[in-house]
Amino acid sequence: MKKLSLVILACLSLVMSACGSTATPSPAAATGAATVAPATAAPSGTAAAAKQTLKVWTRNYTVQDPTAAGSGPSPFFAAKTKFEAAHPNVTVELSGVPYDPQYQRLLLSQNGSIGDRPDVFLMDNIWLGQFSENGMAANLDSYYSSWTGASDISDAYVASSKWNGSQYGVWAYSDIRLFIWNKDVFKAAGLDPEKAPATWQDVMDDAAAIKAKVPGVSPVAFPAGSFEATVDRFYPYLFMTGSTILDPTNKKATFNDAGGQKAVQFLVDLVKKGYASQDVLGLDADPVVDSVYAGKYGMMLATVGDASAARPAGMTSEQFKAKIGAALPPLCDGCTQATAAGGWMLGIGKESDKKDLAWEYIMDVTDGANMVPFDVFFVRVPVRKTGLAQADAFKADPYFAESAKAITVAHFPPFVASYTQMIEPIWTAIQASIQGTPVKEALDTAAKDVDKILNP
Amino acid sequence: MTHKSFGRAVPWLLLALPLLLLLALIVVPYAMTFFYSTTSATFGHLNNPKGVGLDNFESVLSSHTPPFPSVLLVTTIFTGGTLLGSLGLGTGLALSLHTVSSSARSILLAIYLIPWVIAAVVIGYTWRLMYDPQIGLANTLLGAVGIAPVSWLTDRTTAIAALVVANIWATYGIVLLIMSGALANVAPNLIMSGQIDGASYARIVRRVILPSVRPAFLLAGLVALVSGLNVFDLIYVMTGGGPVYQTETLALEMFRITTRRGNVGEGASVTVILFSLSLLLAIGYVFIWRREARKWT
Repeated sequence: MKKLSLVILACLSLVMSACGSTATPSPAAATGAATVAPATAAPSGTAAAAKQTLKVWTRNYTVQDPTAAGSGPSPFFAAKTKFEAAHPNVTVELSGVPYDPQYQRLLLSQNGSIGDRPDVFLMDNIWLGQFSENGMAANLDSYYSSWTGASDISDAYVASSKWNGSQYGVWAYSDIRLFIWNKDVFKAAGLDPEKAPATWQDVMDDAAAIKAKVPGVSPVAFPAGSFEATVDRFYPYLFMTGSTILDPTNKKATFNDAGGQKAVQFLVDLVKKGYASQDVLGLDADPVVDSVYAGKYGMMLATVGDASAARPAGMTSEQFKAKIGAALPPLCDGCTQATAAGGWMLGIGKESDKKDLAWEYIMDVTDGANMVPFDVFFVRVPVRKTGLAQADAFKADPYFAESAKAITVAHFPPFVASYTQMIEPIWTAIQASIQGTPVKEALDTAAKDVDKILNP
Repeated sequence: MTHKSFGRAVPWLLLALPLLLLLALIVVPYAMTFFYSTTSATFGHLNNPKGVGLDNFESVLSSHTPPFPSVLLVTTIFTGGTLLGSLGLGTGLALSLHTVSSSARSILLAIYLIPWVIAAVVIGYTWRLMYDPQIGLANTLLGAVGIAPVSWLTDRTTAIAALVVANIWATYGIVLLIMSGALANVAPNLIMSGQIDGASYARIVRRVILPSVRPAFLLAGLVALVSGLNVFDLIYVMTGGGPVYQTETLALEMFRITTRRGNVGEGASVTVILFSLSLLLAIGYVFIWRREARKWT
C-alpha cells in the first residue's frame, strides 16, 4: 500500500511538474500580473468623496522623481503640478511601469480581469488598434475637433493616431529608423567615413570593401531573431518599395507583393554574399546596435530616439559623431525615400468619468514646454512641428537634423487589434528566407497566416 | 474532544492547509485550463468565451507553422537528450566521487552541485554567451584546433544539441545528489567481497553497486525526465523557440500561442496535450516502478 501511495505521488508529481510551470495563465493568475503596477490608493472616508483622482498609467522612465539625482525631466510631473494647482480637488495619481507590465495591465483592465481602470494611459503606437478596437481607449474626435494644436503635429504623424477614421490617441514622443555605420570600420575599409551608403547597391559595395579589408568585422547586421524588432527594421525597406503591410481595409496582407519580396531578398542577399552572418537569425536589435558601436558590425538600420539607441554611457556628443554616422535609410532602384517610426501616445480610458479633465491633463503633458526637455534628455524625437523647430534645444544630438528629415517620410505599422500577433508570421518568413526557403514562398505562407489572424 | 481524538486530528489539520493550497493553485487552474481549451478565449476576451468544442485541438494538431509533429519531435529529442545526458553525467560523477575520501567528496560534491542551484535563466544566458558566434568559448575552442566557427543557435541540428547540452548542465546536479545519497548507503561489505574476489571496479559497479541503487536511479530518471519535459525558461532565453520554430518544444508552443498570439483557448489546448503526454509517461513510469518494486521485495 505504501508503495502504491509512493507510485501515485510520483505519477502526480510528474504530470503536474511537466505542465505546471508553463500552464496557460488563468484569469486568477493573470490578475496577479497587475501587481507589478504600484498600488493605487482608494479614496476613503468623507474627505475622499469631494476629492477626485485622475489615474495616469504611464511608463516608468517618464515619471522619474524630478528631485532625484540623475533623473530626467518628467512631463507628467511637470503637468501634475500645474494641473493640481488649477484643480485643487483633483489629485493626479501617476503610476509608471516597464514596457511589458504596461501592456499587460492595460490588457487586463480592458478585459475586466482587474477592476482598476486608468483615466489616462500611455500606449505604444503598435497597441493603438488593439486598445481602440477592444474598447479600452475613448474616441477623441470631439476633442480633436476643437483642438487648434492638432495642426502642430507633424504631417506624417497626424493620421497615425487614428483608428477606423477616428482619433484615439494624442502623440507624446517618437523614435525613428535611420541607417547607422561605424566610421572606424569604414576608415579601415578605405571608405569615406562621412559618406552614408545612399542606395542598396552602395550598401553591397561598402560591405564588400569591409569584408575584404577589415577581418573580424561582419559588414552589415540586422535583427532577424524572433522579436518585434526584426519586422520593425524590415519595414523601412518594405515601405520604400511602395509596398505596405496590409491593404487599406486592414483585412488582407500585402507584404508578400513584389515590393515585399524585393525587400526580403535584399536581406537574404546580404547573408548569401557573406556580408551579414547567418547569426542574425538569433539577434534582437539592441545587441546589434551595441556591436555596431563596438566595431564588430559595420552598419545597420537602427532605431534612433529611444534609450537603446542613445549613445553609450560616457561618450560625448562629439565623440559619438566622430565614431558613428547616421542618415536616412539607403534606397533601392526605383524606390521612394521612406522609413518607419514608432513611439508613444496618450489615450483616455473609455470608461473614465473624467474625460474632460483627462484631456486637459494630456494637453499639459504634451505641451512643448514640458515635452521638449524630456525629448532632449531621453534622446527622443519630437512629434510636434514646434518641437522640431527647436534645433538649438537638440544640439546635443548630432543627428537631430537627419531625424527631423526622416520624420517627413515616416510610415507606421497598421493599427489593427491583432498587430502584436501578426508580426510573428512576418519575422518567421524573413527567417525562413534567410535559411533558404524561396522568398515568395515564405512570404506567401506568412501572408496566409496573417490573413487568418486578421479574419478569424 | 478528548486528548486522544485531538491527537488523531492534528495530522489531518496540518494536511488540510496544503491540501487547500493544492486545490486552489493546481487543481482549479488546471480545471480552468481544460475549460479554456474548449473555448475561443483570447487575452482580449477572457470572460464568457464562446465554446468551440475540440476546434482548438484540431487547429494545433493541423497547424503548419510549425507542424505539430515537428514540435513533438523537438520535445522528444530535448527530453530524451536531457534524460540520458543528465543520468549519465550525474551517475558517472557520483560513482567517481564514491571512490575518493569522504572529506574530498563533500567539497567536490558542493562544487559539482553549483550549476543545479543556479537559475535556469542565468544558465541560459551563460550558455548563450558560450555559443556566441563572435565572442563565445565554443567557437574559440573550435578555432584553436583549426575548425571554422559554427552558428550554434541558428541551425536546427546544432541548436537542439546546444540546448540539450545546456539543459544537461542545469539538470545533472539533482541526479548527482540522488545517486550520491544512494551510493553512500551501499553496504561496504558487498563492495569489499567483490574486491576480495578480484573483480575490477567496473565489474563491481555493474554487478554490485548499480543493482543496489536501482530505486534511486529510477527516481533520478523521473526527475531528469520532468526537467526535460517542462523546461521553458532556458530555451526561451537561448533561442526563443526559433529560428522558424525549429527549437520549439510543447512548453514554448504553449507560451507562444498564449502570450504572443493572445489565443488563450489554443494555448490551453497545448497545455492539455502536454498534460496528456505527461500522463502517458506517468503511466509508463508506474508500470516500470511496480515491476521493479516486485524485485526489491
